[in-house]
This record gives sequence, structure tokens and C-alpha cells, in this order.
Amino acid sequence: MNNFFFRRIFIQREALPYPLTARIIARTQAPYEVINDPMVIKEELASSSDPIGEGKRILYLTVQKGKFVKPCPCSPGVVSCGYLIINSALGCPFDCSYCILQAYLADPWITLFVNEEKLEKSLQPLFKDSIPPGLRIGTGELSDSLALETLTDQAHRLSQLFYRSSGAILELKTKSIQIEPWLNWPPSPQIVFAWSLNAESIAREEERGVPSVSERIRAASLLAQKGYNLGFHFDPLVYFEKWEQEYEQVIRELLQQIPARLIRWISLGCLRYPADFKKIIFARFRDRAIFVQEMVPGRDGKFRYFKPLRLKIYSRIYEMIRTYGGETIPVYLCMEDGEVWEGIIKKKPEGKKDAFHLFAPSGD
Amino acid sequence: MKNKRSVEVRKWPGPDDTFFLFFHDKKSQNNKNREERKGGNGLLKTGPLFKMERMKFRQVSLQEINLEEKKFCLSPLVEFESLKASIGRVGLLVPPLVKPEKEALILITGWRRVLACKHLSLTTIPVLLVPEDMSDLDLLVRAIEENLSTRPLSLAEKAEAIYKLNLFGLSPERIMADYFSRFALPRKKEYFLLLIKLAGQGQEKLKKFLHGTEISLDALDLFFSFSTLAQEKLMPFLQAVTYSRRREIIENLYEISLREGRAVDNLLEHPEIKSILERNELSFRSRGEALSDWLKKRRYPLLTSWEAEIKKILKELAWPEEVKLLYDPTFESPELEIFFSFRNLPQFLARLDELKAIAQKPAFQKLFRRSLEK
Repeated sequence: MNNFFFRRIFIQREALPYPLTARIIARTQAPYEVINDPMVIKEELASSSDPIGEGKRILYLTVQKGKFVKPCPCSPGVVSCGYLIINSALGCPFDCSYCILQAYLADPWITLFVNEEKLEKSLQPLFKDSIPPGLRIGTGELSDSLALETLTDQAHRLSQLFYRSSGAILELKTKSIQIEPWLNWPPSPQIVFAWSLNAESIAREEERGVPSVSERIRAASLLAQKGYNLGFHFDPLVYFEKWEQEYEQVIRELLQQIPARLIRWISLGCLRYPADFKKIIFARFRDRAIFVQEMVPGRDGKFRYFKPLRLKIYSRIYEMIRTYGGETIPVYLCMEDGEVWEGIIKKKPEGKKDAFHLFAPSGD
Repeated sequence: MKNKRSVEVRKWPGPDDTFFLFFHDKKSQNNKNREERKGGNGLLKTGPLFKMERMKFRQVSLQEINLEEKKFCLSPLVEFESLKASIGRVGLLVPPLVKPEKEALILITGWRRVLACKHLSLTTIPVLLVPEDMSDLDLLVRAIEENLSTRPLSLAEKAEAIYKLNLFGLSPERIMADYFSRFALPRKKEYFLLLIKLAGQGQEKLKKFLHGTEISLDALDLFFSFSTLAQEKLMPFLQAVTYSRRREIIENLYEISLREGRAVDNLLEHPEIKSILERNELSFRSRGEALSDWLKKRRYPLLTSWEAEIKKILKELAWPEEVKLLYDPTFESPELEIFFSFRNLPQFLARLDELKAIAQKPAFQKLFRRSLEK
């Protein structure tokens, strides 16, 4: 992905004096407009037949007035992993059909909060010794941690903060392969690069504008050679005709290239979506068969595969990870209840502290 | 300047004592004069109030009205039977709006009225003649306003109104801003495009169907992607079932066709569907409901087979009817609940004994199945 991905940049007047704003203006050739209210962008997108797709080419620079750090919103009734989210960017330039952000975010454009000093200040409590080992925080929930890196340097700055800390672990979760700046750094147990992976055909058909799975594994492998800790997210796991063969292929490729000792975690999560997400899918990705498998509403209102089918999928994928990667790689489930945890992992974390043990650097 | 409005009551010059009101809006009249002095560049030449003073009342022969010209007609199906009875009883109370064009009169509003009068063999009717210089857009706006003030528009009529507003020069943005909320439509470009497509490309049968049948825009969008043949085959059944069944049938047909990689037409040729739809001894509603059930089963095979399995197990266990067994209908939760009532201790203990005996049967364990493997 190049730096000049955006068709337009809108800058809220208040965001003008910040260094990050200046950096972005200097690095991009996209025309920018200073505005007082993002309603201008909303009105511009109102006439678009695909505001979400169009919004991915619009960058809005503004000032975060709320909290930069928030707990990851977990569904009621599921086992929480205690993750924290850094709200420094909202929206992602990649266009994955299954991406929940299409329904979750109020605005379709990409918002970047430029008040870095406030962000850095709000992270300070996470560097205290009293922070439980294994507490994870990341920028990859409401955006992609590295996709905008050449424009923002944000991951780089955050890495510097976490580099020598003994507190929380920074997870840089991405589908991008922009890892060059870190190839010259010695690794730190407090920084984990994590890639979202999928079956090759799902990645090819459902993840628009995203490097291939093999490219992602190659990027991970380069960092592994430097000794970095890595994470992988098979999320969403998609049920399709050749799911077993294709997931086995990617898991085998991954675990042949990445030593298990460097893998801090692998997460698994089956495809799921809230009820109103289907309207977006029908409007944007109508011909995608992945959304018309047998999915039923759960207790949290989200649609998931029929539970016995989920159990079968998780069970097979878990088996594959153990076959190719051995017994030591920590595996956890995303947004699943105790029954699924006990059925697959054989134990479920009892509360956040217990969950943190899963992710703590070895020796803790 | 303060806006001044005066109302004038005039006697209707017809056979009965009908009166109607003339509104005079000084401010809008001044604005209009100003516009006219400037050469007039607004799309809507007249102001917000109906300019009765520019219209002329006439008694005209019905033969003078050209009913072939339908550019202001919104409805795909003009039903006038109820109105015919009313006009037969008390006469035509509200004159239709007509415009002189090419030595004939074309109808702006009042299709039902004119057709009813024709069927009553009336030869002349009162009309309001609009000035010849009024633009088509101006007139269409009036036609829409008059319709909206008397009844809700059907989806087919909304589509037609949107299509013609656009055709006569109003931008999509203005249409969405000025009309979508009044038409109770979500203000989204995709719906604008869908309705334009429906009015511009939709078959007459489809428009008539949508004139009499309510359907969500999302379901319509899917239905519109079906072939004309499939649409026509489904229409009588969709018309007969409830709004939610209608949506389910369309969604399930679409999703099954997508999942199985076969066209909807091909799916409708499935022997089981054919046998449902061809059972002519049953009403359209019954067949529509049977189709809906069949599609649900096909769309959710695991869920429906598990539901059937529970029923089978309960039968095998000779489960007492007085005890309700409650389970999560999506099988997400593994928990089961039972519910029964009792009036005294002996009844309670007897029921517990009965349930205990049932629990000893091997089939009871099957109720706790959580895996796909049996």
C-alpha cells in the first residue's frame, strides 16, 4: 500500500497545530480541507451508493477528547480476555467483507486522532510494575495497527514507549506487511506483532486490498528471524466446502515457518455478525456465499454458526495447531462462552487475572 | 415583511352547495412577482401554497381528456369502484386537475375520479385548468402533494413519483432530502437507485404486485434480482402471506440459491417446491406458508433436524404433556428447563417419580447431545 491512498483529507480546525497533522500533510499528496464539523463529510458521502467503500478513501484528522484507552467491548455471556484498546484510529483502509467495523463504527471514514501527547500520557499507568503480566493492549481492534504506518509513524512511537516497559504488552495487530522499521530493532517481550490469517481462498475473495496470506506469513517470519514475539488470529474462521483442507494448509505453512516458542498466542473466532450487519453485506457484498451458511442468533444477538458446528470447526483447527505446532502454543477463543472453551481448550479462564496468565511472557 | 395570508370562501358553482377555499399568500405572491421580474429561474415557479387564483374552473367534456398520456399518473393500477359508488350518490366533489396540451386535456390528478365518471356514463365534469406555462415538475409536485394528502402511497407509487421527479429535473439529493422522509423511506442512495430501477425497468406485473403488497426495501432488492418468471410465479403466494413470511420466503430463496450455487428459477423447479405450489386445492396462503416452512428447513438444515430430533426423543420417552420441556431454540445454551404445576405434595412427588423413571431410560441422555457426531 502506498502513502497516498486517500482521495481526500479533512482536518478539523482544532487538529491543525498538531505535529502529526503536519507529518501527514507533508507525506500525502491528497488534497485537504479544513473543516469545523465532520457533518461536511457525512453530507458528501450521503449521495454515495457505497458510503463505506468511499469512506475508506477519506481521512479525517481530529482531536481525541474522550478516553484513548478503553476495555475491549466483549459480548455478554462470553469469556473475556481482558484486552485493552487504544482508540487512536477508527476505521481501516482494507476492505474485508466480513469486517464488523462496517456496522460498529458510526462514521464510514477513517478517523485519526492527532493529539499524540495525550495518548502517550494516558498510557503511562500501563507501565507501572503493578500491572499484571499478560495484560494486552493494542491498536488493531478498531483499525489496522500498521496499515497507515508510513503516514503516521504511530506504531513506531508506541513501540518506543512499550519497548523497555515491564507492564502491559503492546499488540500490533495487522494484515499489512509494513514491518521494515522494526527489522533493525532488537526484540522486546513487551511488543507482539500479530497477523490476522485466513484460508487462502477466503483471503483472496473476501479481503480486498490486503497482502496475501503467504506475504503476511513471510513478514512474520522476517520478524521471527529477529527474535520477535508473534501472535496470530484465525478470526473469522469461515465454514465453506474446503475449510478443513485450506485451514490445514495455512496452519501447516505458518507453523513450518514460525518457531512455536516465538508464538505468544493464537486466537480462534468463528465468523459472527450482529443482526443489522446483514443489510450492509447485502448492499456491499451481495454475492458472497460465506454469509449464507447456517447461522443463528446467540444470546448476545450476534449471528454465529450453529453451535455444534462451531464446536466441530474449533476442535479441528485446535487439533491442527497442536499437530503442527506442538502443545505449548497458547490458544484462546474470541467471543465464545464457557461451554465452547471447556469443549475445546478444556479449561476456561476464571476472570481477567486468569486470562492474563495465558498471555504473560514465559517465566511469569 | 410579515407574511399575510387571506382565505376566501367561494360557493362551488355545481349542482350542490359545495364550498371550497381559496388561499391567497401575499408573501409568496410577492416572491413570485420578484422571480418573474428576474426572468424566473426557480424550478418550482409557484410558492409553497397552491395557487388557486392561477387556475381556471371549467366544465369539460370527458372526451376532451386524453387518458393515454400518463406522465403525471403515479399508480400502476387505478381502482375506482368505491369512488364510483360515491360519485353516483353525491356527485363529483373535487374537480380533477387538468392541463391543456396539444388540443386536448391531460390529467394531472384525478385518475380515479375521471374513470369513475366515465363508467357512470357522465358526459361532462368540472375540472381545474392549470396554466399552460406550468412546468411538468411543478405539476408533478402538485400531483404528489394531492395524493399524499389523501392516502399513503404504495411502494410502486413512491417509486414512480421518485422516478418522474428525477426525470423532470429534480436531483437525487433533492428528492432524497425533500421526499424520502415524507414517503417513510430511509434516506439512502441505494434505495433511491433501487426505486428508480423499479419504476424504470420493473415489469407491469411487478409494479401492480407492489401496489397492493407491502414489502421491505431490502426484500424488494433481492426479489428484483430474481428472473421475471420467478417473480411472477411467486407473486400470488407472497401476496397471500404475512409481511414477515414474505420477507423470509424471499431471503431464504435468495440465500439458498447463493449457497447452493443454483438460480432461483432452478430452485423453484425442485420437485418438493413444485408439489407445494401446484396443490391447487389449497389456498395461496396455505401454499405460501408451506413454501416458507420448506425453505426454512432447507436454509437451516441442522437447526431443523435438531428440533425434529428433540420431538422424536420426547415421543420415545413418552414425555408427559403436562410437563413442559424448555430448550434454547437455537441450541446455543446447553441448559434445559422443565415446568409443571401441582396442587399438593402427593401430586408433586408423583410427578417427580414419573420424571425419575423417564430419566432412567437410555433415550433421556440424547437430550444432552451437543456435538454433531451422534
